[in-house]
Amino acid sequence: MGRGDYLGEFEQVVLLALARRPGAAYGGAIHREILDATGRDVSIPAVYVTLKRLERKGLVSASVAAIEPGARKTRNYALTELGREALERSRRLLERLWDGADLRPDAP
Amino acid sequence: MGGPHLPRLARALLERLTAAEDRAFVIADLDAHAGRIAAGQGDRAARRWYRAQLWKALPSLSVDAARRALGRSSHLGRDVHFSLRTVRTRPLYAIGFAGTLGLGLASALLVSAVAWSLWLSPLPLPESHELVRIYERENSRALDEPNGLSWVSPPVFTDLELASLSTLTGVVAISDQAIEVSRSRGGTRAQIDAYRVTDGFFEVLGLRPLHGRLEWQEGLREVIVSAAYWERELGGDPSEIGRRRLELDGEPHRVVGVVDLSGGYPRAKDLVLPLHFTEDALTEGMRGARYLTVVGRLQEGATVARAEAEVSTFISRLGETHPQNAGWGSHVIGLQDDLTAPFRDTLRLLLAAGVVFLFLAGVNVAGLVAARGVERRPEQSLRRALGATRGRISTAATIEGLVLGSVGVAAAIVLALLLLPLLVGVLPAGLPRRSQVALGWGTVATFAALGLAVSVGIGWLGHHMSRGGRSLSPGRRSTPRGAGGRQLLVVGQISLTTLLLLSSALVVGRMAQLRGTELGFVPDEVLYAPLVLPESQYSSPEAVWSFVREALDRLEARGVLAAALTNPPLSGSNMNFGYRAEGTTEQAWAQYHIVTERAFEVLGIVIEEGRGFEPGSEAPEIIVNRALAREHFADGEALGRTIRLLEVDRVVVGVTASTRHFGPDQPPPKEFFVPFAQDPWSVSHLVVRGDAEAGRRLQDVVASIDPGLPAPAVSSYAGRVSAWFTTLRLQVGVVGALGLIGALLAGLGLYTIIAYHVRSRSREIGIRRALGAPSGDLFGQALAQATGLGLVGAVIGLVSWVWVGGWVAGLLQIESAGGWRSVAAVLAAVAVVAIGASVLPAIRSLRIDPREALRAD
Repeated sequence: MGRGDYLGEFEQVVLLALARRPGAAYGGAIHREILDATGRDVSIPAVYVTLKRLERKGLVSASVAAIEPGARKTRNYALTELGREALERSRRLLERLWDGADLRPDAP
Repeated sequence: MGGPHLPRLARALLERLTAAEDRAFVIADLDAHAGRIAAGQGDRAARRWYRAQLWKALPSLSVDAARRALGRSSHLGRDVHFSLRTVRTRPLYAIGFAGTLGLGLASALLVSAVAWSLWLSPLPLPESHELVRIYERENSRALDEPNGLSWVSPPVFTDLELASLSTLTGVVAISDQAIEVSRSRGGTRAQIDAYRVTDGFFEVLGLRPLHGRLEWQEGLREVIVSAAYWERELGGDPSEIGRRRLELDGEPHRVVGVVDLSGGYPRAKDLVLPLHFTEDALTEGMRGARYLTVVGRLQEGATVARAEAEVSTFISRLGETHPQNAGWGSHVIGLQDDLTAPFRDTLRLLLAAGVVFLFLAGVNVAGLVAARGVERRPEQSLRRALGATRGRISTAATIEGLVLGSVGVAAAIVLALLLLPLLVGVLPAGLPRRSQVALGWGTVATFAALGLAVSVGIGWLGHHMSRGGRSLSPGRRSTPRGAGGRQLLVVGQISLTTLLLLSSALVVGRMAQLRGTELGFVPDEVLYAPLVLPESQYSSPEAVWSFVREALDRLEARGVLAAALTNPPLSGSNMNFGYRAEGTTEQAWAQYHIVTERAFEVLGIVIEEGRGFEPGSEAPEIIVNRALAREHFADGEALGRTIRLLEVDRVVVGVTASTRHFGPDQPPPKEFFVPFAQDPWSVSHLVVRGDAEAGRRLQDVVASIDPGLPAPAVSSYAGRVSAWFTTLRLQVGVVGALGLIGALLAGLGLYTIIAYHVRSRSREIGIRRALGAPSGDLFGQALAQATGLGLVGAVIGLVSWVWVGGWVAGLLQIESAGGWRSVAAVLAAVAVVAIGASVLPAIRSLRIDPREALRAD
């Protein structure tokens, strides 16, 4: 894997929030997903900046449309195949690291 | 029911920091979530949340902004590369852009440097704004009249020095005559430039010693030297101060101090000696010998106007007991204003011209860019179709302007550095602070920044002036923007050029007129030499007269027609003495000359009535000029009348033609002449009629009588008259150069208009050519447009001249605003400019290939 193929922490959070949503989601919805799932009130502009970066990496795709008839137009993001693979890689990486990690203070 | 009241500042900042393509979506999402919070927790919670969003977003938005900037910088490199390619592929355009901007910028830079050095920058003396120049003034004359201002006589200066003036801390006198002292070094003698100044000179001016002290001890022969002289002649050795002696006027003087006189005021001279007035210098009669330069320093809080009122009152009161001061007052002026007064109007004209030329250069370059933009429309349409935003294309045009502008700025600086010595060389030699004219780094940096800012603005403006079609869509016509405005500007440039050329014609005509003015004497083949007899050896009038008589006799024996006189014409001296004519009770003033009997013959001054002086005559005789005779006596009745001068009643024995003593542009003053033998001065002039050989004989004769005297410097009187025209030549040069630059810029402006017009209509011209339009028609059309614009501009300029001409004539001190010959010459010049500017685009219109023109859209 080349430089930049590993996901940053916030990138993972955003991608996971996107993965939890069926279909596409816009920035505000992703923000709400993160808030509801983790209680973390992240910055909406930061979500958009991250999504733009992920789009440049090809991990998400973007389109502008109204999510529902009559709703305002939003820029909606969806996971790409590359994005799913990146998330899988991140999970395997973390699982391997967690496996064997001992958080007890008196562990040898 | 409305949404929550959102914090406006936070919202505005978030809008500003977010990338343009994301802005609408980000703000909508923020507003929506804030609305939800407001609905559940209230407006205050929503506002708090909104502000927190701003703080949280700052790091990521900052990184994103930096990334965008870096992304643009990669475009920047490409834009610079393409701009440099333009220089290679479109050299004429690049030269036109950089050259025109460089010309305008160099003009502005040069005139700013000159105006700053000569006029605007303060004198390099402490608190220089407190220094004033003091003149005596005849109350009945206006300041700008001939003899309206006079220098100060020794008795009046001494009175001022002793008076308790509340507005001045001190006054000092500088003897401004051609003081020459001789020194001996290894047996040779030489003349040295020196000042004689009264006590307090250095304190009043605020000059500090570089070494030693700046005061003389009573009764001792001491001299203060300039820093330049100290370096040059004394080796710059501090140990010489107080020890080294110089032989001046045959007497040893000890060097006691060194002072830097390179600051521009007073003019740099080698030595400074004390000025002590003899008893003779303070007699009643010497109240009319007004030859001292007097400078004072204002008290803190005092103004020039108050000082003038006080000094005027003081001098007026002197008139109650001293007849030579009756009717006289004073004029006090800031020293800096006094030094720059003769040239201020010319400098103002220069400054205004510099600003105007920079503006015109900018306009012309914008026109060039617009014409270039028309040429690049197909390229830009293609780029738009490939996805380039309007902003990118505009940025590229701006970068091109900046790159070419940088070349123009560099060219301007080089041009200014090259031309500055030439410009300084043209300035009159006696111009105060002339040696200080220089291009300071501050001035260069300011104009460089200005030039870059202008070129950025021009690149952007020119691009927008050329914008027409938006895409490659067929059927969309390109419409040139602002064509009418550009034509108006070019017409304005031609009008301005017309005015400048008319001003040039005015000055040239004035110069020709003055050159033809009858001077009242004949300077051709006349040589003059100042004669300064040191008081230590020629302390009595008899000794002075003996020397002068011997010198003239020896010159006559060698076949040289020679004479001695004081206050020669066009010498810059002003010896206004009081007199009373027979039959009058009021005192009047006239120029006082002491002459030997052949002075009139040598100088070619015609004696119109009566006779000259007889050699050896001791009778109290006087010769007057026509101006004086006309004032007091009826025609033909001056001879035999008396003039009371210096307490002596003198009989008029001759009436001469009046001379233009102060210059060809000034009316002849009243003059009277007294025999040299009856009032011999140790400072006078020897004049001879002849060639260089006569001048050598004059020097030989002086050396043969007194080998200790330095050889007098012999100069040509014709050269002196020519030097008088220096200021006028400066005006001719300046105004002529302005006219030429204006014509160049106007020509370029016309060229851009016609070129733009040809390019914009290349399709139409191509079709016309394809349909067989004669070449002459197309050529003539371009020419007609140029000459039409030229004619309109010239007519506007001529009409404006009706009002402006009088002002320009007044500014240049010329009586009338020119005649039909000037107008005809200027119209011809404008026609040449118009035709010249249109030739190239007209030829280009003939070369338009109909097939290419039809293909391009």
